[in-house]
Amino acid sequence: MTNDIYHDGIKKMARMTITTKKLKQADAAIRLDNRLCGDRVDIELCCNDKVITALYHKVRGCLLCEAAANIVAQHSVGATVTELEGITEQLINLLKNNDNSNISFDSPWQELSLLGPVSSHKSRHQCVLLPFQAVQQALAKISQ
Amino acid sequence: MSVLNLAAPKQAIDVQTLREQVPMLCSKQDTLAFAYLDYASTTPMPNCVLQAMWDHEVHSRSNVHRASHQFAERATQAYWQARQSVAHYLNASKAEEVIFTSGTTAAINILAHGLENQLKSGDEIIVSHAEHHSNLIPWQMLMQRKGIKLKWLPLTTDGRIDISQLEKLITDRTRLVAITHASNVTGAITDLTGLIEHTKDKDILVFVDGAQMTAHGPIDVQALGVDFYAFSGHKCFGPTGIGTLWVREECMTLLQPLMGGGGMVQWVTPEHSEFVTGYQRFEAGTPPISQAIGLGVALEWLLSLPWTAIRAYEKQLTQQTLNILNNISGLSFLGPQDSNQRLPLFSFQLDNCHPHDICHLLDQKGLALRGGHHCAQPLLDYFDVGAVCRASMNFLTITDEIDMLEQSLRQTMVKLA
Repeated sequence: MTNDIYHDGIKKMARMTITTKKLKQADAAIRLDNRLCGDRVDIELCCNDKVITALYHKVRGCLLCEAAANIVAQHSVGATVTELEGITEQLINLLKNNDNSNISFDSPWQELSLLGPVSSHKSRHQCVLLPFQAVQQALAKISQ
Repeated sequence: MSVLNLAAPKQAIDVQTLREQVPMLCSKQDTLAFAYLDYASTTPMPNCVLQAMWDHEVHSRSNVHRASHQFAERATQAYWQARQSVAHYLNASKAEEVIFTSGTTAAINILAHGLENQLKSGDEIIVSHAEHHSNLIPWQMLMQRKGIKLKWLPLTTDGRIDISQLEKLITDRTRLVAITHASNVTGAITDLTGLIEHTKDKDILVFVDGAQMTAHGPIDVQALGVDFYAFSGHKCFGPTGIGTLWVREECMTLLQPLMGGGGMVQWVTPEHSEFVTGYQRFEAGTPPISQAIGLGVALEWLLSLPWTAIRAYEKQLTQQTLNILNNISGLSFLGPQDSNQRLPLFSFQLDNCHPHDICHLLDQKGLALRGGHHCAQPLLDYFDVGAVCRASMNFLTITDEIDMLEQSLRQTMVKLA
């Protein structure tokens, strides 16, 4: 596995155009900033019976944040709250664990393994986690 | 070869020899070649500073102003000497005008709290869009506590504070102008002479945030005609945890102390405390002694340097960098094009590349730059910019490092394409 965090797979994921439409009646809207680098993620969610039914995302961020946000945008609709919690937990483990060769993600989240090389760059973990944290905070807001 | 020889031998600087006095610049790093271009954030310390702090801790570690034993005598004397060195560097009329703080941020908080009783609801403080958060948030907090109003000086299109607009903002409720001496993002140097022209005959105090300016040569607070000046030790070759709030003698009594405790009282009864007057009123508790000593030595080191030559050299570095940045397609930077109006500090963006990614890749090539909003979000919002990379230099920078920056930026653009 490459140690280069700017490998082709991650660049391709970041450059993908994943268009999500702004929601007319979102159940929750969250804006999160990475105070270190100025990355910003906006997430809007609709949720029905603990399943995400609609998502809008907007990112002004670095390549890593863009890549992570695109993965979120691609696969969140249809996912359950529990599934997203589990995936976020797995991603945190991936980042914490420098030897992440044993961590694999269930379908359709396999692309998260592209972010493996980020694990050895602690200052960049937040870039990857920001979109996931925004989703988690939006879900928490809905459950209140 | 980064040696600048001017006509007079006394005005020559040998950058390499100066760098040899700064261990961090000579130390072996992970990469064979490295370039430290983050001086605006923190400067490395020369040997003389490290040695002075070591000597204090080994031979004289003791509290100040409290005991009469030999250790305390030496510590107290060294602490006072440090205050004199700061006064000397700032050309203050006396050392008693110098208040030691933990840094510029603490200094501004002390000032904002200190002036609170002088201000009434509806009074106005003028700041600019170029301020570091440290020279903004304490005033916003004061605004919330006292109902004062903040008014904003605009910027020119090239990022300078537009002093020509000051007159329009001044009213009979204006009490203070709190402004940076040089921006930590645009590098633009503020026209303080022009500013004082507008305020001098009015009952308006002037505070200057000198955090970025102080490493670029001795300051003359008397010539500037300002009332308060603050800076941090770690940005001018001293240690972290120490800074200064200089207060013009006549203004010292305007301020109420932020912190109470040992060292700032004349007399204490169970019901009441009587505070001392002067700088000690603002230095409650045991101060950062070795840090103050380190700062004093750093400033004496700076004072020993040939500043005419250094200023010329820094201008040369500035021009070299401007030429390079102007020639990289897809690169845009904030701040003036005129090297006379700016410090060697450049915040820039590359098309389709995020600053965080650029700085990460530059670090892998041995270049230390900072990316982000640089604690100046109102300034970046003013120019509708989310984040920028910043390369900051000073007289320890060699021209090879700027060449290395250019080459690495071009390679980074290819990598991120």
